[in-house]
This record gives sequence, C-alpha cells and structure tokens, in this order.
Amino acid sequence: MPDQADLLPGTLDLLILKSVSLGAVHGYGVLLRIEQISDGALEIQQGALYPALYRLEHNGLIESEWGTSDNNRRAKFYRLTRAGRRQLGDREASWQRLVEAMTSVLTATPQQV
Amino acid sequence: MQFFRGLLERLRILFRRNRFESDLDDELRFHLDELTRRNVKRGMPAEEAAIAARRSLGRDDSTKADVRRQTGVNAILNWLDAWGLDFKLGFRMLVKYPGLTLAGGLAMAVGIAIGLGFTSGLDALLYRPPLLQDVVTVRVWNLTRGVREGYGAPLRDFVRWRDELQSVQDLSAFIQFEQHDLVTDDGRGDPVNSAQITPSAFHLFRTPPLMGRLLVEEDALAGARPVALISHTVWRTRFGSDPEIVGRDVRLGGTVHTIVGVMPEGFAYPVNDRLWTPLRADPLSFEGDGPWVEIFGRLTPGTSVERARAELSAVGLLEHTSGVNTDEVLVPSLVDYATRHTNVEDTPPSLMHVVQLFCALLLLVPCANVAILFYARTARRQSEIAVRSALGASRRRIIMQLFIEALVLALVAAVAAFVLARISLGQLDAFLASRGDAEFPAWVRFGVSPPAVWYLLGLVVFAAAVVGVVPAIQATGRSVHSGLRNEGGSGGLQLGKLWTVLIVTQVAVTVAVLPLAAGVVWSTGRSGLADHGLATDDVLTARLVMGYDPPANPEARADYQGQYRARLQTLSNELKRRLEAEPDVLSVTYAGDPPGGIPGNWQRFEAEGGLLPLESATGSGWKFYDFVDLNFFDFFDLRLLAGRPFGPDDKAPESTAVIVDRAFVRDVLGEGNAVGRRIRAIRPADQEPAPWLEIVGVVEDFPLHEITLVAEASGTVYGAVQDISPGIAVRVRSVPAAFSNRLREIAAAVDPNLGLADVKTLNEAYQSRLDRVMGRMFAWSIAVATLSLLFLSIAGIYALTSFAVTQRRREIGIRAALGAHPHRLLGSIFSRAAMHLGLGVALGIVASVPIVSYWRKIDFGIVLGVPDTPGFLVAVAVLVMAVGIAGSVGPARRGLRVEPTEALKAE
Repeated sequence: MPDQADLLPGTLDLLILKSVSLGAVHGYGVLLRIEQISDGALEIQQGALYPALYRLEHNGLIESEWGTSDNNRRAKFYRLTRAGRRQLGDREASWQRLVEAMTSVLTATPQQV
Repeated sequence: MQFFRGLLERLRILFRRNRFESDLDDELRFHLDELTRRNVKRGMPAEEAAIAARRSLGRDDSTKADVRRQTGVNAILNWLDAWGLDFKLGFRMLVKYPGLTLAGGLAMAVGIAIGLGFTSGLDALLYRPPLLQDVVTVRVWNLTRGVREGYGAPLRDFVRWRDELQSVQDLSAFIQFEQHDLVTDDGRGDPVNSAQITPSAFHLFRTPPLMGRLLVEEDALAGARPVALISHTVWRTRFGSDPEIVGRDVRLGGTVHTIVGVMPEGFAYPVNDRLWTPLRADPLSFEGDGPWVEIFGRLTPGTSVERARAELSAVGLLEHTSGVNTDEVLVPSLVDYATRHTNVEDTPPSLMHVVQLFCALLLLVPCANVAILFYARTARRQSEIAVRSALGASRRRIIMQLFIEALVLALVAAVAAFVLARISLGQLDAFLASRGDAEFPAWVRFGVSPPAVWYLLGLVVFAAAVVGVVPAIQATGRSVHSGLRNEGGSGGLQLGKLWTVLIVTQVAVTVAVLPLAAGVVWSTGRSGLADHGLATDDVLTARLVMGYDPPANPEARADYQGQYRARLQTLSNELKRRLEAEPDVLSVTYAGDPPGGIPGNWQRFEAEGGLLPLESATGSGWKFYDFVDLNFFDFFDLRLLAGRPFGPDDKAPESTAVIVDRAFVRDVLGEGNAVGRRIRAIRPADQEPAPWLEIVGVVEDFPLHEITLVAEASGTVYGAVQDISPGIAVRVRSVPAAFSNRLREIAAAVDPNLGLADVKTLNEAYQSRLDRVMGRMFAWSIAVATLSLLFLSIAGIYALTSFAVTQRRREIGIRAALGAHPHRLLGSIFSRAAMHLGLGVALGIVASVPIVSYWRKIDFGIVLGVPDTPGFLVAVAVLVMAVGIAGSVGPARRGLRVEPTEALKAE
C-alpha cells in the first residue's frame, strides 16, 4: 500500500461528488470507491463522510434513494443532481488550475526567475 | 430559490424527524456491518473486526449530531423551542392580564375585522366568474357632455354590430324585467327576475340545460310559438320540481308560453335571472330604433379589448331617430362585463392596495392604544426583563419575546375578527340573496375570501409589530439595567404627558359618542313592532298580482287597462268577500302598498293659501301618499284625531277627500285646524297642476311608515281606495304563517290568474325591509365600536393608575411607615385617576352637544330612542366615571398592600 496522503481542507466534497458522479453508490461505496481509485492513497475520515453526504444532499448537489446493495441489503444510494454535476465541473476546473499553478511553482528553476 | 429549497428541506426533515433519524440509523448500521465484513475478510476475528469497524466510523451520536448541524436542523429546533416558549408565555400573559386581553383584543379585533370585511367585499365585487372571462359589454359615451350615457344601445345598432364586428363573437342582447305575473297553480304570484334574451347568449354561456333544451334562434322568429326557459329555482319553488315540466304551458303576461327547458342549479346569467324568453332581434318589429338593450359578447380568441374597442368605435352608432338628442356625439365603447355589473369596471387595479393600506392605517389607531397598554404592562415587568438581560438574553431576543406576546394577542383578535367578518358578510350575503335584486349579479357572493385571509395574516403581523415591538424597543433601551437596581422600587420607565392626554381624550370621546351610539342602537336595534304599540302578531300581508299584457296600440291599450282595472277590482272584492267568510279570518283590508314594507308612492305637497315649507323640519318634504280601504284605520286601530273617517261616497272617482296623519299636519300645515284645508301634490312646472284635495280627517301616525336611516321620515296622506289597491292585510285567528297557504289557495280559487306575492306576516315584512336590515347592521357596528372604545378607556385608566402605583411604590411605603391612614393613601391614588376621568368626562360633555345637534341637523331620520335630556348625559358621565374608578380599584388595592419595609429596602 502506498503512503497515505492527508486530505486538503475542502477536498472531501470534491471527492464525494466525483465518486458519486461515476454511478449511484451508497455511503460505504463512496468510501471504497475513493480508496480503490486512489489505490489506498486517500483515506477518508469515516466520521466525516455522512455529515458531508447530508450537507451535499441538503444543498441539492446530490440526491438519494433507498435501494438494495450487492449483498441484498437495504441501502441508501446517492446520485449526482444537475446542480451537482455543474458544481463538480467548476471544482474540477478550479482544482486543475491550482495543481498547474502549484506544479509550475514547484518545478521552477533559477533560470525562470 | 436556494434559500426556499433549503427551508423546505429543513421543514421536511422537521416534520418527518423520526423517519429522518431512523434512516440515518439504518445507513450507519449498514456502513458498520460492511466495514466489519471487510475486516473479517482480511482475517480479523469477528469480535475484533466489529470493534475496529466501530473505531473507524466513530461514535454514532457524534456523527448524528454533526449531520443535524450540517443540515441546519439544530438551528431550527433551537429556534422552535424558543418560539414555543415565547408563545406559551404569550398565552399565559393573556390569562394573567384579562383586562388588557379583553380591551386590547376587542379593539384590535374591530380594526382587523374592518380591514378583512373591506378586502373581502372588494374581492367579491371584483370577482369575475370563469364563464365571464373575456366577456365584454357595450357602454355609450356622450362626448359632447363628457359623461357616460348608459349601458347598451338601441336594438338597431345591436343587429348591425352582430353582423359586422369581427373582434367579438356570440354578440348577444337582453332586456331585464321583473315578471310579476307568473301565477302558478298554487296561487303563488311572487315576481320572477326575467330576461328577454337573444338565443345566441346561451352559446356564449356554454351551459347545457338540466332538462329539455335551450332557447334557439327559431324561437325568436316572428310568429314562433312563445316559449320560456326556467331556472332550477323557479322549477323547484314554483313547479314543485315537476319532472314533466318540459312542454307544460304557463301564462306569462297574459300570454301562454311553453316551457322548453330547465337550467341547472346556480345558473342565473346574464345577471340575476330566473326565467328567460327569446328576444326577437328585429328592429322592424319595434317603433323607432327599437328598445335599448344590454349588449355583450366574448372577445374572439387572441383579440385584445383595445382592438375590439377600436373596431366598435370605427363601426359606431347609427344616427338615432328617437330617444337620443341627435346633436350630441355618442360613441360606443366596450368594458368588462362582470365588473360593470358591480360598478367597479373603472376601478384601477391599485384600488385594492389603496383600500388595504387605508385599512392598515385605520388599524393603527386601536393598535397605538393597545401599544400604550402593552408599554405599561412591560413597565411593570421591568425587573423581569432586567433579570433576563443580566442572564445573557440579547435585546433582540427580549424584543422578539415581547413581539410574540403581542402576536398571540393579535392572533386571538384575528380569530375573533375572522368570526365577526364571516358572520357579518354571511348576513349581508344571505340578505342580498333573499332580496334577489335583479340588477345585483348572482355571481357576487360575500364571504371571507382566500386572498383576504393572507391580508388578515399580514394585518396580524402588522398589529403585533405596532403593539409589541415599539413598546419593547423603548422598554429595553438604556434603562434596562436600572430595572435591576429598582427591583422592588419604582420602575425606570416613564409614561409621558402624551399618554395622559390620550387617555383623557379617549374618555372624552367615549362620553361624547356614547349617548348617540346608545340612541342609534336603541332606535334601530329594537326587535319588533310591539315597540310601536301595534298588535301585529296576527296579521298577514301580501300583494295581489294578475297577468298584464297590454297591446301596443295606444287606444287598445287604454281599453285594456280599463278592463284590467275593473277585472282586478272585481277579483279583489271577491277575494275579500271569500276571506271574510273564512272562520279563521277576523278582518281584511286593502292598501296601495302592502303594509309593513317600505311605502312606494312619495309626493311633495303644498297647501292652499300660502307658501308652506317644502323643506320640513324632519326631512326634505316628501310625504307618503297611499290609497286605503274604508276599514284601514279600524283594522290597525289608528285613532281619528279630528274630522271624519272615510265613507262609501269617498270611493267615488270624483271624490277629493283625503285624511292626513299628525306628522303631515305638523310638517306641512303647522298649527291650527287641518280639517277643511286643501292640499295638492307639487308637479313639475311643465306639467298640469295636480287637483286640490280636501282634508276631511286627521289620524294618528302609522308607525310602520316611519323610515329609519333615510331623510324622508314621516307624514302620510291617505286617499280612499277607488279601484285597485294591490296591498292586502288579513287579520287571522290562527298562527298567521300557517294561514299563508290557505290564503294563496283562496286567491287561486277566485281566479287562476290571480296570484299573491310576498306573503309574509306583518312583522316579517317590516323586519326584512332594507332600512330595517341596514339599520340593524349599522347599530351592531356602532355598538361594537363604542363598546371597544369604552373598554379601551377603562383599560387606559387601569393601566395609568397601575403604572402610577408602581412608580410611587416607595413613596407609598414611606407614607405608610410614617403612619398615613389607608384612606388618605387610597385618596391620593384615586385622586389622579379621578382627575383624568373628570377632565375627560367634562370635555366629553362639552363635545357631545355639537355632535348630537349636528347629527340632528344632517338628520338620517333616526329618532333617538333614549332621552336626549341633560339627565341622560349626566347618567352617561356617571357611568363612565364609575367604571373608570372601578378600573383603578385593582391597582389601588395593590398600592395599599405595599409593605413599608419592602419598599424602603430598595433604597
């Protein structure tokens, strides 16, 4: 397992939105999906997951529906709303801008100064 | 949008809180189980796996608390808890201060009810039923004089417009009339609001008949068989819901009509009609331009009313050959149909807002009063507020609490106002429906309208803001903490001179208007005719009706009228004879108008030999002129004061004998002997003078002829009935109402064409008169308003005394400690209240004199039923003083209970 990275403040919502955008998923699935995609590099504080999910739902970015899980249990599935998709796009773009800016700063050489 | 969605979501969570909690539990449990399962898969023993899973997820309750915080549910719960407490406290305050609740609540209820009533009334008048959307009617403007000439236009123009106008479809016309001669088998002849209407109108109204068919164009062709369409009401009340009604023949206006259909219940178009006959839209069948008809039609889809107006004025009116001055320029225009019938078609849309604003401002008056009472109460609770403030309650929080206390009072007042408005509007509606006025649209129903309820809620918040917030801001100002210092001593708040002035003014206004209000309430609210000394419980009144259909030819018409009168006279004599033969009947008499109703024939009279006052002392000089049966005065026990009664000779056509009542003598003839003097009706200068009439007798006044609420109050000239007088009164031995069916049967047996309309007991006829009903409503309003004013004054005195006692607590304590006698202490407390009361009463007495005399001068014809002597005014003054002093007893007793040591401890 690679080293785990700390989450930057404010990135939990972005990760949840992205995870939910890949297909309807329950809360535990969100956790698994993030761990799986990041190859275990990102681990979410599980206590923070549900408040974040409810907040995003309350703000209309995701919506939920009760369904049945793979092992045939009742579970609540989350799906991205239209507003959530728009929000995700905005946040992704802003994240990319941040990454590019950070990368250019961190890869700067004395000649560029 | 986001805000409202969030709010809705929170409310949803709140209302389904249990569900929300159990869902969250399920979700967390699912998560925990999955986590445990994964740990087991990774090789952990089951118990350890569960512990590790629990550790990763964290504690359920902290997660849940976090969820609640994130979704804002916590904030709402706290907020609701606080509000719940404030409301509870508000209700407790209502019970704890019953005086304020009663006086303030009543004053606010009256103010709110007025606003609610006006708004609902206006809503009703502006209402446009779905069937009448896009329906317009013609109005003719006289451009030369710049006035509205009237509604409708000559039939000739209607026919042309119907053929030429593109922007209006189903153009139709009607003439309303009261069908007085639909006499049914049971002898009923009550008038029926009817309309002669073009069959096209039924296409416009899009309502299929309940039975039979609608009127069709063929019915309106020359030579077509006369037909009629009847309403559900007529079918039910006049034909006993006869299932075989279609095809039945009835006599209308002397002509046999076949009933072709029955309209469904509630259908009363075009205005308030119950029977429809076809209008032949053929100007050639009438003289001149034909009759003026009301014209209406539906705008063609997609056409604006402006475009339709432009088209109509382009087509214009034809040059008239009759009826209208041809030198004047007349232009037809279109206005909304529904609102034209309630006379609000020209009303700008902003009127509703103006009315609402006005009513809110009106509410400000009682609210300002109640605010002062609230302020006084808040002042007494100064220490409580100071403690709350010291314990950390913010000023905003305290103001909110006081606002909610006021809101609770306003809500209670609003419930009372709602009930009051609902009852009053319901009464008005029932009264209008029972009158069935042909010109008043059936679709207008008075009641509290849904938009008015929103307005009501707005008024509640407004009233609560005025009553609660303003005093709260003042009471929670810089002096809050001095409340703590003064705990047990005098409060830090002051009641300014303004308040004292206001209370004194209130007392003065109460004293000034109370005699007048009592007089109005007494004289208009009296319940029965017994007050007039008339024994009327056994009298039934009605109006005779008989088919009348005169021919158009003037000569034939005169002949017809002569025969008609002779026939009706024969029939009415026969009816009287048969009635007198009935064992239950004591006596029968006739009069021009059925006794008990509002007299219909008014004339102005002059006396021979000198110019006599036209503008009489009690009115504008109009006197009632009636023709009565020879036994009329005996029938009603009216005493002859001078001269002689009518004799058989007075029934001769050439007789000029009249009998007048005392009111007539007083107003027209002045002092002196009236018998033998000659009078005549005043006619316009361009008409032949009326014949002179000789007064042969004077009788006492007939109280039923007194009209309340109108200027033309009294005075009657009686002539002896010469041929027909359709008003009949029957005195019976049994219960009069039970005899009414028998009365109709006897009339029907005399002649199938003879009917009786408005069969009522004399008392019913009198009580249902428009002036009586309006008078009762007026009296009620005055009574409630005055009562609320009286309560407010007493509450004001109470609050003033109570406040003074709180202020002087320390002083009273010291005086008690120094050995002051309780009587002296009581005297010093009462003296201030008595001074305010005395000043108010004195001012009120001074003000009442011009008010009463002004009232007399404008003279609504209201006879004050209570003595208008100075003695009565003194009685009112004593009453107000007494209740005012009684109002200050409570605070005074509180003052006496002040413990000297307690009061001094605060030093």
